[in-house]
Amino acid sequence: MSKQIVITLPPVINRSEAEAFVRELHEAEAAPEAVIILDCRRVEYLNSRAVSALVESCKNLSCDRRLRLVEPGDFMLKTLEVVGLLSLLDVYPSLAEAAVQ
Amino acid sequence: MSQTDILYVSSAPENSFLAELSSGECSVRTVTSIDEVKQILARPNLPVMVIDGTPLALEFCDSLKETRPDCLASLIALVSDSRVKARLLENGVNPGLMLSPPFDAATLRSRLSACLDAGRLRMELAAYALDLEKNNDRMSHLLGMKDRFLSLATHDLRTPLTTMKLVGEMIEKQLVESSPPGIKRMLDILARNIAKIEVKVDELLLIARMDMEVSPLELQEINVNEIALDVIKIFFPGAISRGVELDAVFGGVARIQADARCLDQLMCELIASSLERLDTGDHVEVRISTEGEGVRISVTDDGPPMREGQAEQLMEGLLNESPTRQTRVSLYTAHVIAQRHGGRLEITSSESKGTTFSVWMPQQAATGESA
Repeated sequence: MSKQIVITLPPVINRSEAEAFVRELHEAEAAPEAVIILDCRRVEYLNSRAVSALVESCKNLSCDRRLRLVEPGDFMLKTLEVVGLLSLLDVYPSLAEAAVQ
Repeated sequence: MSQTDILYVSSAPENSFLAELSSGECSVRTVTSIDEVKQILARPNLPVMVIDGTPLALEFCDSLKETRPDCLASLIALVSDSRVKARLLENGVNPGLMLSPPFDAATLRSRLSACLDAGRLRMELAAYALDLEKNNDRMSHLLGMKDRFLSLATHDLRTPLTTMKLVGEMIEKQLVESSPPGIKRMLDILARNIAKIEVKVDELLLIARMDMEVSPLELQEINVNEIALDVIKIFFPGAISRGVELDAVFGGVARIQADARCLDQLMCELIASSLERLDTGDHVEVRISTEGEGVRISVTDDGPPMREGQAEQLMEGLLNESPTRQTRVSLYTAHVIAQRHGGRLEITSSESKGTTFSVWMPQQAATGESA
C-alpha cells in the first residue's frame, strides 16, 4: 500500500497560512509515490496563492497521482471550479474514504 | 354574439324606455340585481351606463365612484326627481350626462350617440393599454433573458474556458522532445482561440456593467460577506496568472439593504481596479467590516502608490460626474453604484499604507429611487 500524507488545512488561509500550506504541499509532492490527502473540512477561505499551489501541484504530479480532497466546503468547491481545477482533483466525503486504496 | 352597448341599471326598469333605447343601433342589457352590478364592476371595460333614480341605480353609482371613477364619464343619469340629482351630487357622483324629464327620444339618442362614441373610444384605448401592458411584460421578459445571458456569458462561460486553458498548459508541460511537432502548433492554436473568446466575454461584461448604472434597484437584505466570497473567487484565475496574492478578511456579520447584482458588480470593480495596477509578488486584501450605521468594503494593495495628488484628482473627476481619462471606468461604475445606494467611494494611497479603494454602504439604502 502506498504511503499517505495528510495535510490538514486551517479554516482561513491568507498570506501567512498560505506560506505554510505551500511548503507542506511541496514536501508532500517530493515524497515519491505518496498519496496526498488534503483535509479541507474546516476551510472557509483559501487565498489565491493556496489555490495557485494546488494548480501547480496538479501540473507537477504525474497522471496517476491525483490530489485527494476531503469534504471541501462550498467556497472551496466553487473556487476550484472557477479556476478549472475541480475535474482534475478527486473529492472524497470523508477522510476514511480518501485513505482507502 | 351581439355586443352590449348600453347597460341600464334599475331596480324597476321601465319597458317603454327600454324599447325606445333598443330601437336604435345599439343593444341594451338591463341590470336589476346587486350581484349583476358586482359582475359588471369587475369587468375591465365598461360600456355606456344608464341609470334612473331607483335604489339599485343609486347604489351602483356609489360603487362606480369608489371603484371605477374613470368610467363616470360614460354614465347617463335619468334624473326624474331633483332629490335624486342632489343625492348624486352630494355623494360626489358626476355623471357624464344628466337628463331631466321629459326624456325625449330624439335628444336622448343624439346624446347617447356621443356617449357611445366616447365609450367605444375608451374601449379602444383600453385595448391599446392592454397591448402596451403585454408588450411591457414581453420586454421585461426579454430583459430578464438578456440579464441571464450576460450572467451566463460572464461567469459560467469563463469557467470551462479556464479549465480548457489549464488543461492546455498541462499538456504543454508534459510535452517532451520526442512528441510530434504538430501537437505544439495545435496547442498554440487552442490558446489563441481561447484568448479570443476571453476578449468577447470581457466585452459582454462591459455591457453588464453599463446596465448596472441605469436599471432600477431591487433592494433586499444582503449578507455582504457572502457576496464578497462569490466575487473574490472570480478573480482567482487572473490573480494566479499574474502571480498576485488575493486575501480576504471578514470582520463579523455585515448585512445591508442593497441590490445584490449591483453590490456584486461594485465589488468586482473595486477588485479589478486594484488588480490591474499589480504585478507578480504583489498582495491585495479585500476587507469587509462594519462601520457606523453601515458596512465598509475595502480593497488594499501593496502595489506602487499613486503619485501625490492623484487619488484626490481621481475622486474629483468622479464626484463632478465628468470622468476624465484618469478616471477609470471601473471606479466610475463603483462610484455610481455606491451613490445610488446612498454610499460613497473613497480612494487613498501612500507609500506606507498602500492604495485602498473603499466603499462605505449604509445599512438602509438611501436611494431616492423607487424599486
